[in-house]
This record gives sequence, C-alpha cells and structure tokens, in this order.
Amino acid sequence: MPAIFALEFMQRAFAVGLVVGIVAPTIGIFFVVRRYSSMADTLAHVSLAGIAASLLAGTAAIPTALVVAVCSVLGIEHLREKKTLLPDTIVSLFLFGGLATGIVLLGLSHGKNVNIVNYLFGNIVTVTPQDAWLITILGVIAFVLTLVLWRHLFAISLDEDVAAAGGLHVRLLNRVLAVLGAATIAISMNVVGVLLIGALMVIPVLGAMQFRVGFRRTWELSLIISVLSVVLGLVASFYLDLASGGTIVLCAIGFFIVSTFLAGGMTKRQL
Amino acid sequence: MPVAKISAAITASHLTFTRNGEDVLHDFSFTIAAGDYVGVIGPNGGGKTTLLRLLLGLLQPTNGSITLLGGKTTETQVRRHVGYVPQRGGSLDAQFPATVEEVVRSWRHGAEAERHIAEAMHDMGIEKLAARPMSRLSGGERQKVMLARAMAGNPSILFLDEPVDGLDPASRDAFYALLRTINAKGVTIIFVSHDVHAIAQEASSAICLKHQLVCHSKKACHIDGEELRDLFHSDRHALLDHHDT
Repeated sequence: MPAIFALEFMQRAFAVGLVVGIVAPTIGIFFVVRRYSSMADTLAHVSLAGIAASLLAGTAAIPTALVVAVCSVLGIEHLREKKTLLPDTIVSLFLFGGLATGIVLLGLSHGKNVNIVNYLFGNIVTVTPQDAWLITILGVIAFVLTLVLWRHLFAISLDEDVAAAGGLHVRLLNRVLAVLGAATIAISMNVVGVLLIGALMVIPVLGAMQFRVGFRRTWELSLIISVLSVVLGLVASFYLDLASGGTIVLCAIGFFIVSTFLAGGMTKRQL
Repeated sequence: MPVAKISAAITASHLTFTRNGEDVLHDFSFTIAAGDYVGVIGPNGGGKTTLLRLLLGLLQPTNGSITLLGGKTTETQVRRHVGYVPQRGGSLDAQFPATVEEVVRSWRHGAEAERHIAEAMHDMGIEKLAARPMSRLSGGERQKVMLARAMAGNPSILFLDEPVDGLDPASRDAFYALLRTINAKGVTIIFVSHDVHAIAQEASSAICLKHQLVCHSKKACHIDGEELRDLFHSDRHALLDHHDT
C-alpha cells in the first residue's frame, strides 16, 4: 500500500475530502445557476466570525460556525425578501460585517494558542476523528435533503414566480437552500479553508457547465470534477509538501480549463 | 377540487393595489367566466402585469379580494390548477444548464404528471427537442417550452404575460394557434399584451386597464375608439377599424 494511504490522518483526510467533494457541488450548483456565487463567499466570511466566537467561548469550531452561518443566511434571506435593500448591498453588509466581527473577536482571543491559519487556508490533515464524524454526518444529511428536494430546488432555480404560481412554497425552499449552503460552508472549513470554500462550491459546477448539457448531467460532471480535484489535490499536497486547500482549488481550476477546451472541441465537431 | 363545476374562473372585487403611496390599480371589479379567453390591454405602466401578479397570488391586494376557481389565490390547492407563462421566458437565464424535458417536467413527478408532461410536449410539437439544452433553442421554441411547462400541470386557468414579445410573425401565429387549441379544450386563458391587434384577433373578451378599469368588453373586437384613446392618449383606435363587427 502506498505510504499516503497507510497513514491514519491521510485516510481521514481522504474520507472527509470525499464528503466535501460530493456535497459542495451538489449544493453549489443551485447557488451558481441562481447567480448566488457571492453568497458562498459571504457565508465563508461570516463563518470566520463563528470560528473566532468559538475560540473566545471555548466551544467546538464547526458547530459554532454552523450556527452563526445559519443565523446570518436567514437574516440575508429575510432582508432579500423585504426588498428594501439591493441584493448586492445585503450580501456586502454581511460579508464585511462577518469579516470585521471575526477580526475583532480574533484580536480578543489572542493567546488562545490556536492556529487560525488552518481555518483561513485549510489544512485537511489536521482534522480530528471527532471533526471527521461531524463533517460526515452533516454532509450526509445535507446531501440526502438536497436529493429529496431536488425537483423543487430545481424549479425555484428556474423561475421563482412560476414555481410560486404553481403552488410551491418558494420562501421555505429558499430558506432550506440557504441553510444547506451554510452547512456546506461549515463542513468545508478544514478542507479548503474559509477563504477558498466558495471555490469548491462554484468552480466544479462552472467546469461542468462548459459542456452545455442538462441540469442532472451538469451536476454529475461537477461531482466528477470536484472529487478528482480533492483526490489529486490531496495526493499532490502530500508528496510536494503543499498547502492542501490551495492545491485542491488549483486542481479544480485546472479541470475547469481542461473542460473549457474539451467542450470547445466537442462544439466544433458538432458544427 | 370540483373545478369544472365552477362557472366563474376569476372574481375580483373592489381591487386596489398601492405601491409607495400611489395606486397602481384603483378600486375595480370584474368576473371572468370559466373557459373564457381574455386579453388584458393597457399602456406601459398601466398596471397590467401588477394585475396578473395579483391574480397569480404573487402579490396581495391592498384592498379588495380575488377569488380563483372558488378559492383564495394563496391556497396551494387553487394554485395547482394554475399555469403561468412569464414575459420573455421569465428569469430563465440563456446559459441555465437544463434540457427542454427538464424544464417542462420542472418539479412534477408521478404517473399522472408523466402523462400530462408527455401530452404537453406532444401538443406543443417539441417532443424531438426533449434532450436539447435550452441554450440551443430559438425564441419561438423557448416560448413553446414555457407554454408546455405551464400545460404540464394540466391547468384550468392559463396566465400569459406578453407571451409573444420578441417573436417573429410566423412564430407569433404558431403560438397563438396553440393558445386557441388550448382554449378549445376548456382552459381559461388570460393574456396580457400591449398589442391591440392581437387582443382583438385572438381574445374573446378584453379588460382595458389604466390604473383603473377603462372597459371590460364581452367581445374583444368591440373595444371602441374612445376607450383606446383613454388608454393610449392617441388615435390607435384606427388600428382596430378593420376588426370591428
């Protein structure tokens, strides 16, 4: 067995990486097609405030970040529905508000002996067994719930008004999708880091969209790109001694470029 | 729900809708019979789309009430009998990764839904396009897909907002022919347009709207010149001359 698979922390890293690699584009595809990509970044910055709060309060990082992200995303949805502020304004308020709160709280928690860099840039090999279980449980719940609501989430992504006119509970579905996004962010923190979480939700989907196929096919392709990016990124980071989060995202960007060329070639052959 | 037994598809009573302190729609009432084909006409900003959104339950009236198929517009059971074709394909992005069949199917599933989906695609003549991505359709094909999506729910009432906007004349004619076929099956059709010709030619009755009800003609081709002058502040009534009976 290659050394990389014999090490317990790497086995854990692969397991957690696969969970995140599957969940991130599964939720991310709805964010991308609804042009909510910036929402993922906003939630990531808000999560930073959650991590800082957990350092101050001495609570576990992932659950605290999840609670803060869920509260924030529900606040964003509430303000978005009221339509008194522009969507960009709301997202910016929460993005910078979350970052500022995080910085202030981190300043207050100075000396707590925690490497914040792991959360900012991701360090999948430092995932504890407890974190691995929590990430897996949350990931499976988010994945199953998304599959159950797949048709409804697809319908509100196509056109909220048509879905509402047809009897779907658009408001509730929007909130569920937002909470699923917050959960994805919370479980991805250790894998790619707060600053790069959005990338794993968005880039594999963008790569898959280059092929201009149907929604389900796009999702399947994005899963392949995402999982390959995580596996290749982990292997490369292990052997080349690189930061795991950044390497995974660079692999995803590499797959995006390859997808663009492949899709372009396929289009030319069809003409 | 005994939809077929209800003679009035829509009843609006003393309807008022206020936005930012101004009446977009002011105190008017009307009834639309089941199976009717109604054109809603009026100038830009006259409240046509607002009326449509009120009837669809997407907005709530400031005053007055709306009854749809004997129930409230907010009731899920009522909404399940409603189909909606938004203006220019609605918010659907041209790059949205979806095939024709996925869009028509949307959230519907189950044996009965499958039958209606297949029927709608057949009726609209888009069966062969089922696997084609939406980004590779012409404007006319896209509108047929939108109509098929609305019809896949087997609606009793079909609402359309400027459905042929941006289509070439041949596509418009084909689209209106489809609407006539749908109406002949007993589906009530309400379509919003600023095209006086289309309303006069296609609809069996018309609602003329400019913040309030200018007229509710039992025969669309009987909208008179005075009413059109009220609506558009111009002599566009001349457009209708050759349709008058």
